[in-house]
Amino acid sequence: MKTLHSRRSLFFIILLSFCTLVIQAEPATPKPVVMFTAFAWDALTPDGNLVLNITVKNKLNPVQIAWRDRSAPFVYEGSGPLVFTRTEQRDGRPVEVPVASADIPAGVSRALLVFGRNPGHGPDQLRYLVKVLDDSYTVFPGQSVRFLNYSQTELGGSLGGQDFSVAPGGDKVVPATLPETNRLLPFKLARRATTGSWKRLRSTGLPMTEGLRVLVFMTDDRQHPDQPELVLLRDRVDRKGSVAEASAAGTEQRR
Amino acid sequence: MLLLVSLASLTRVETQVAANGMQSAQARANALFALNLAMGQLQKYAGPDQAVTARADIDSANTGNPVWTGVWDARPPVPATPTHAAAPASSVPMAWLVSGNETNGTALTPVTAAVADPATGNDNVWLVHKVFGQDLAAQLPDYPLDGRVKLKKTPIEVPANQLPGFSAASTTATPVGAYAWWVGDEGIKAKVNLADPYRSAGVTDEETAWRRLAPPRPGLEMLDATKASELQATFTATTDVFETKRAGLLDYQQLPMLNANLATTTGAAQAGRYFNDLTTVGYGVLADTMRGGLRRDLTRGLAAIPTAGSTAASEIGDGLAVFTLPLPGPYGRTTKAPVTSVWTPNAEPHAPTWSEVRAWFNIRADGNNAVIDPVSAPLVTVTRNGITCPTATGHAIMPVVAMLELGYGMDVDTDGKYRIMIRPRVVLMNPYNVALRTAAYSVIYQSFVGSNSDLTFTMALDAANSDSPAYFLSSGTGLINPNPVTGVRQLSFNITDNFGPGEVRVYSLPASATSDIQVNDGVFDLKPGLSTNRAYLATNTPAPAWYDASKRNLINVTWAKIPADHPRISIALGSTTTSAAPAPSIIDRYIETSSSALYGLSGGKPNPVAKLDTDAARQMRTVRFTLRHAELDMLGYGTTASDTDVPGGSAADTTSGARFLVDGNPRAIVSQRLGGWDNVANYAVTPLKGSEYTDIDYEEAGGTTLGFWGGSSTVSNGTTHAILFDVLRRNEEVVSLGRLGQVNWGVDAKHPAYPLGNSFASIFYNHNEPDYSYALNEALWDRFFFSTLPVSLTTRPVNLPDSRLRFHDPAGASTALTTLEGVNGYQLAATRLMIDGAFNVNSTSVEAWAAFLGSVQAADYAYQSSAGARTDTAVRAFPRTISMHDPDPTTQSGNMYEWTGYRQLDAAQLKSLATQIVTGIKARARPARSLAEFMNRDLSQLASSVRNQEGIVQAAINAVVNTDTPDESGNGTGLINLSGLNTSKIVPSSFDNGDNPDAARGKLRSIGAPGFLMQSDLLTPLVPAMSARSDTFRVRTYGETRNPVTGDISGRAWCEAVVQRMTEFVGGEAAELKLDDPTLGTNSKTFGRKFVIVQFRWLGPDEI
Repeated sequence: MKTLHSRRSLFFIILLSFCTLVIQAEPATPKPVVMFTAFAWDALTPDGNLVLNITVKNKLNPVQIAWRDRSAPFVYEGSGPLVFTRTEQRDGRPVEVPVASADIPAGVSRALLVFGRNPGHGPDQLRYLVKVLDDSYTVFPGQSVRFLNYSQTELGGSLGGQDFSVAPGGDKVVPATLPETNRLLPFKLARRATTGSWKRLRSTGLPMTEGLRVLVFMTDDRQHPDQPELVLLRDRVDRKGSVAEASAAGTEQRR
Repeated sequence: MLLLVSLASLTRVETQVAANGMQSAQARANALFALNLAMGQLQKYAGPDQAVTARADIDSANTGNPVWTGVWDARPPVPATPTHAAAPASSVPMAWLVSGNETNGTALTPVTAAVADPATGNDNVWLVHKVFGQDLAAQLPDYPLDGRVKLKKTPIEVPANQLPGFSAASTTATPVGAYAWWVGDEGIKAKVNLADPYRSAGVTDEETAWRRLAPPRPGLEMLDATKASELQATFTATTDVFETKRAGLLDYQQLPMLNANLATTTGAAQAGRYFNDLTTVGYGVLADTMRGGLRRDLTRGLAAIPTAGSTAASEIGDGLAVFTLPLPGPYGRTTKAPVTSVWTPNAEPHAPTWSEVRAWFNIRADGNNAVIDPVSAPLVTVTRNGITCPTATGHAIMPVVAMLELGYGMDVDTDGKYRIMIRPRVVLMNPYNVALRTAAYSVIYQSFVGSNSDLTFTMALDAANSDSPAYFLSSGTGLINPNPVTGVRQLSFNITDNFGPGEVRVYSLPASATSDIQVNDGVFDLKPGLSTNRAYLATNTPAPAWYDASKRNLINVTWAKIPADHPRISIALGSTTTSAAPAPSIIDRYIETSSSALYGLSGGKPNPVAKLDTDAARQMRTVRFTLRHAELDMLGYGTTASDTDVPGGSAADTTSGARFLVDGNPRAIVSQRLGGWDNVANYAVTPLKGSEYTDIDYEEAGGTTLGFWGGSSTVSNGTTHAILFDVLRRNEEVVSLGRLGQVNWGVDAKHPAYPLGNSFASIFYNHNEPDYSYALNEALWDRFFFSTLPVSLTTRPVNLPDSRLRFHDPAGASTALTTLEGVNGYQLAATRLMIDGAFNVNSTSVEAWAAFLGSVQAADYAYQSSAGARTDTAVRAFPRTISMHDPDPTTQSGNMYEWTGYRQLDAAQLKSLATQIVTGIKARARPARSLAEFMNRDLSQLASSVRNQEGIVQAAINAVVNTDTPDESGNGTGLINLSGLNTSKIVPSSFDNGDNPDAARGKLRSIGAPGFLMQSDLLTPLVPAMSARSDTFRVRTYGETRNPVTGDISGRAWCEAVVQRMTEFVGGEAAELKLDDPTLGTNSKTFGRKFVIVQFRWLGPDEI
């Protein structure tokens, strides 16, 4: 019996070794790696942050998504949709419930995830909608302004001397000139009325320096019809070409 | 025989003629007897100053005899504290002035049906029936008023034994005649024969202005052409020849002399129809119907400080309060127990003084395109009536702080020591219609000294390496050094600049600075425009040993508190330095900032976090103090009971806003904490974290950086210019009391910006109690006037700038006018002046009101605009600020002239206003007892009633002019076309943060902007001719004689007299005496001023 048992053990060891060899022999498929930052605009109360989880290498990693601020950068390695979960208690046990999912297109290594509510989501639907933006320096380089129009109307204006317009739901990156020393870059914003005419909304200025990126997120101001609410997310591309993500405008933490 | 018969016949004829003549004479004597009775009744009831008159149709119930004249008692309940706030116990007049009421003034009332038409078989008589042959019976729909007067005759009886042929023993009362009389009110009509001395093309600019600001006569071209085409045409596009003829009219019967067409059947019928609307007679005594006595002359009273011992010194001397401030309700009261300190005194501010009024009156700018040096009025702390409060002794003409923004952050300097970073933004606005020459100003920011006013943050590399310093900026060992002059730790922002009229300008740290600017002395020198530079306070506190400059990109900074607890914002003329600290002219103290939103305390906003090497760390929280504007939708940080003294607390408040020019005054000299808001009235605070922060809106224009205010602090509805207040020009003769509406009356920011002459209920006072406007109106309108007398009266002027004022020479008095010179003119002017064609505002004649409103003639209107000199052709202009402003925004939309322009009204609007005003007057069913009561809202009405929320005239304006939609003809006269006022920005119906929230619910927040027509705009040019009563009456009497035997009427006579109340007392005392003067005799106190007959004629039966 002992011999038979030993033979069987040997057989499994050899089989396992063989399988391992076979697996190792297959060509390796690198998992995509993406560094992302995120922000939420209407997903939360104005004073709270959204704390979700992502699973990386079978390990839950908390992701704190700031309300109207760019979050700290996170690195995700894996294929398929990036699924965000929230820990909920069911039958007395913690269970990860998916609440959001982001499809990051192939080739995008730096992404900005914009979290918004999924209005009227059903019990089997995700609670948050995520818009994925290519946040790479080639698409959104330093010394530029990116306009993200989440309002219901076409917005346009000028940045420095350069005109722009952004359709509802649209996204436009406008290269910026440098203003005079210690001055602001003139920024004018207007809304296209239903009549086709433009209604001036803002006439202000943005700080602009070499390497600075400014994301101007524009939504309808629910308390002030016909006016946009602006959220400005600033970060900087360092001289070496790497973005100082860790130096982003900051997140919110409760004291 | 034939001769005898002839002689007998002749004798008989002669005898009959003589008999008839005697009967006629007796009838006339009876008519004169009736006239004497009427005069007696007039003297008795209308002789005293404190009486007002109106036509019976003021009460729609009076359908029986709608053109009777009533006299109402205007005496206030408590003479020592005169007010008409409380409605009279009864709306019944003291008397209706008709025969039959001699012993009981209200025995006959117009509510009862008129007597039957006079005819054989009744004892009634016509006193007014036909005029120019036109029967004045009501004829619907065009002529709803029955303008006829018919009365039952009052018999004249004597004992029979006094009559020849009757038994000597008979004492039976036997009628020998009868009489009747009626008094018609001429003051409620439009006077047609007033001269227009400043009409010709050759007049000076000043005279043209006088003609607009104190119009010489009503606009009779306003008569309804569809009903009275000939009459209307008569007074339209008149010639100089016509004007000479018009001024020569003595009587209404002469009207056809002006136009032959008025003698035609049609024309005469029209002229007849307007008998109860138009007149050729009438003067008004400049009397105070509330207090009694004659009005005082501010032309004399404000020209200089009155000499000691003068009447003016005792009544309007420097330092004397203009009026007693009414007490607000709990929300509006300046109180916040238990905090009572120099920061929040538990007391109302001091009332404005005559010093301030006089100072404003004497600040004069040269020319239309005027430039002046700014004027300061440094506040001094004064204790008066137990109240200690900053008070002005002068009148500042200075910019106001439209915004102050402080961006706080931190850094670690190259020496490894903490720095507190500050980036300031200041926006100043010149609200005046003059340019201000270059001058230095200090905007001063001072934090409340309290436990929560420190600044705290945490700097951390990781969990093991962190540091949490805290700094006081302005207390204890604060980082800011005490100013050596004041001893106070304050931030002073020095600005040197000039301002165009209404200009909003932006300031920041100089862009020329190449590094951060140290400001531990608390002094910031700001420059025009926006820069990205920052200032800092050196802490001299070393960062912890673990701090490594090479790891700045790894170090987190977490911001906690901002040192901004109940700060004070002030502005002073002059720079603040370490050796100079000018006293402010405006102080806003105890601004609410102690919200958890600023601190990040438990339950509040989270604390922002940034890496140390970013700009975000250098500006982590920004606190923006914004002068209220139409778009601002919050009042303060109302949360729960902690934020109000009002039981139950106030609801969280982020969606209400305020009518910031009605419930606020942007140039108020003090702004103190309100009990109901836990905040001052005119600043709101917005805390902004990094990503929420966008820089303030600005616009570069001609090398100047302009900010925005008004409808908004952004470009969307804001304006770079807001011309709100006026500065008098050197050559301006103040002709209307309404011009005092430009005085900075609103002492506290909770007071209105334009209280005088306006009537909007305030949210800070109980709805059934006088508010600030109410009390100020009562203090001024009936008590004062501007005589416009020249300094020297050695030569009698032909016309005064207020050409409605005519000299009156009392019988037997010297015709010299030199007694009116100097300070004594203050109390004497009204004794020698009367208002020609004074208009009783209790008039119920729509036609007369239309003509009165049309007094402001359609004429070319020249003024200085921001684009240069401009003339608007043939407009009826109602500018709030004269000399310099922009065009009417409804004529040129899209230019934001709603914040800098003026309003003009067309004839159709004025006619509609007349209809609405008369409707409002009739709704009260009794006359206003004073000009103030006419202007003010009705405190007896419910808070939700329009009549409680605004006065009659403002309600009419809102119904006709300030509408949300264009008028019926489709013209764009409504506010909907004025985007800068933005009709969507209204105070929500849920608003409850006030003592009288109904006052604001559903109302535009931009009420009071120059594009919004206010009552004072309309009335200012009309005030010089306004009166709350009539002093001229048309008395018609009838007398008859009867055959005592047959009872047949043997003689009839009608007469008509125009009776005028004069300035002289019946007892002959000095006319300027006040009613409580001990030298005033009983007769004068009882019967007032003397009535005299100024016109008399006998009327034929065909004239009745």
